[in-house]
Amino acid sequence: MEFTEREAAVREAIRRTDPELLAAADEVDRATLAYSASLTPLERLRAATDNAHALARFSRVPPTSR
Amino acid sequence: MLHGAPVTTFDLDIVPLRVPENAERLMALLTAHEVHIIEPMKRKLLPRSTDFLRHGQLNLSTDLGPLDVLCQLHDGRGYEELIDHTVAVEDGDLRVRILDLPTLIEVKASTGRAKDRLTVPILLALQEELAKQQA
Repeated sequence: MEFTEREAAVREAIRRTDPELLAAADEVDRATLAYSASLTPLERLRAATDNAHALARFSRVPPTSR
Repeated sequence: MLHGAPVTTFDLDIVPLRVPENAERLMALLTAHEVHIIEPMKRKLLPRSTDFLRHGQLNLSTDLGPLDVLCQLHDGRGYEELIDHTVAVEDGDLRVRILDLPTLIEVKASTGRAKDRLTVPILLALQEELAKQQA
């Protein structure tokens, strides 16, 4: 795996300032990334919009009514 | 998200070119979409085209969803400074310029906001996957 000079510079800056972020990248689900990468930009937009609408349908339930 | 990061967002951020003609065009488009400023008193104040020529950020509501107009990013960069760090994304008739992935990572990692910091590992992982594909 090779990064461009610019990519490597940004990653090195993060490694210096906030190394936890690079460590956390190892925990990211690569299958989900691959699925998202398989979509076209418009499909990605639609999927994100659908997800946002689905999340918005949930509302907080007061503890007393549980 | 358009780069391929599986993240959900509720709004769209744009960085407009700050010249009067573009501000007028943006204002005309937003007026056709019931634009108003999102603010604590919920007064439905309307933006003015000259607002898009300043240095701040406007949180707007439209009938298409929330829109944040960032005249400048938190680090002071505006359209002119960012345009060379963008890539064109095309899909059918849609063509938009978005921040390139290294710049997006740089921006998200430096805003100081938790919600932006949370997306950085996903973007870094995406960058790794793209680099693997190109190898």
